[in-house]
Amino acid sequence: MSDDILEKIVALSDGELSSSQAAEVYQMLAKNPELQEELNYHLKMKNVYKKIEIPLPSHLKSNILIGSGLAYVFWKTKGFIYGLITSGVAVTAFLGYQFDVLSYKEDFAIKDNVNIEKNYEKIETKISLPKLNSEYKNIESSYTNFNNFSSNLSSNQNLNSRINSDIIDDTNLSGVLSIDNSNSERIMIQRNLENYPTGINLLFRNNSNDEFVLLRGDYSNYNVEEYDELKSKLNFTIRKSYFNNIQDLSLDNSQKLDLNNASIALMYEYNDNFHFGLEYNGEEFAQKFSLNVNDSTANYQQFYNTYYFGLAGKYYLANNFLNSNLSFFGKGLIGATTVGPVLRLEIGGEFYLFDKWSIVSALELSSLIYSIDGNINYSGRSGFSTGLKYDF
Amino acid sequence: MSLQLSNMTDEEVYSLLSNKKRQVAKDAFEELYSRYSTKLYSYCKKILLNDESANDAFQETFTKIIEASKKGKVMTNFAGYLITVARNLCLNEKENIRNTMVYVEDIQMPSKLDNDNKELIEIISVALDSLPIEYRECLILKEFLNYSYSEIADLLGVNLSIVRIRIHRAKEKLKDILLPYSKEIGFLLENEI
Repeated sequence: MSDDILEKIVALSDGELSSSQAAEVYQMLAKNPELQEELNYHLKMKNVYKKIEIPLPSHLKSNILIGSGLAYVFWKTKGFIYGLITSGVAVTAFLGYQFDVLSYKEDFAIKDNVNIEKNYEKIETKISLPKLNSEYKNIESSYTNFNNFSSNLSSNQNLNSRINSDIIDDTNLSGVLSIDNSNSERIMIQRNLENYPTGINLLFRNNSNDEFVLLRGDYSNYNVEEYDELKSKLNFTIRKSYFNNIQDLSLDNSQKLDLNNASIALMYEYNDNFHFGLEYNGEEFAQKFSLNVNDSTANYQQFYNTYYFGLAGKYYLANNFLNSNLSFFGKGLIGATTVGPVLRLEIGGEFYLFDKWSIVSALELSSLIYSIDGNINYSGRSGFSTGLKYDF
Repeated sequence: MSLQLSNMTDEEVYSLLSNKKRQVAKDAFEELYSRYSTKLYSYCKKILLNDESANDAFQETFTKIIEASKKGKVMTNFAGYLITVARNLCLNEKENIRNTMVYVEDIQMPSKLDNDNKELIEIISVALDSLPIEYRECLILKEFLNYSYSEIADLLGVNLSIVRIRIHRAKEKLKDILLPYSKEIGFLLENEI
């Protein structure tokens, strides 16, 4: 058999001959059983080729989806990367602060063995120490009894008016003597333990034994700066929500409890009760919409992962509870995403842990209002959040 | 209810790859993937004969398709474009893996078969791998991807007669390679059709 004939047999088995060419080959086939066998072989082999299985690795699909941005893995999301960077900055700032890299040096010298309770710790972190008035410095080491100290000070007319009004003797653990040297026109007025202006010195009296200790610092290297006052009123919170529930979208797979939702917030303590500040959120909302293609309409749902800044306000209830470490608050947030505003309400509590750290938990309701194809929709979410708060 | 993508043409589904709604784009990708992934992977694997390279070329092909859609490229022949992209990637990839070619002499055929069709089909598959690339490619496009001779000619940029010759030679050469197994193959073929 010539190559030309065999080539036509193969082409015939592949259905690639014109009707006239095929008729010609059929004529040859009728006369030649060997050619018939050849055609038969190629026709059957075509079925064998179909049985050759080349398994498609299952991971390739997800690789393409992730690579092209149609799907994501957690550790590659922008939110995670931003979170990592933010956490790094926060940790660096925290460590820097703790080790006085970013802060001035506070060199307290506690002269006597005084029972210092945790409130002292809170106070210590909030005050800053100016240069000590030389008069005051001269007398502070001469007295070890609070009453004597106070009465002797009264003979000093220059300090008397200030000292008498500045002794706070109504706290549970101590009295506080404070003198403001940062501004000679201003006498230390603040008696509220939670609100100290810059530039004060503290005298603690132990109520049980009437001994006192004066706290002072390394005054030579210190300059009073507004920044320190501001810093003392800032706090930083990082939170993550769990057990989220969403509205029923009336579509398949509408239940998705594991919605991404986390934030970091920097708040300013306007007063004891009201704090406000900026919050950066990574949050996932369920969305639904319709799509028309080729006269076919379909309803879709998707989970919209967005990152946005919001303004937050937080109101603390007066602390009248048995446990002074516990406080309750209500919080509101309004944020702006690329598709519409976000509103969130929280009610929760804070529990003071140690040093400057508190744990924060809240129940929350959140809603994204968005427009798709001219229709206003909202996406609701409720959940429970928890986090950590750091007071600067 | 999801969009009836299965009723759409390849080109219509392709246009949805760039939809700003991620779920729509993802569904469109899933649809095209279900239509072409098996054939495309077979092509990549049989051309490159190397798992890692085939995986790379396969993934890169789909990624380029998605990118093309996002850049607004208008598609008139999706299947043709898909295989053209895959072919270019495979040829580039092939430059790096010359040493992985299978030669007839290297094929380790078992001396005895147990009338196991799977084993026999595997032998045919390996024999296919030993064909020269230009023959193998034509055969794969014809038998695995169901391209016509003229479509193959367009894709490869050669005359129709060359395609016909290559496929004929590919099949004849395959027959020669499988000659030692003619009895088993004959048995296998008796059960076909």
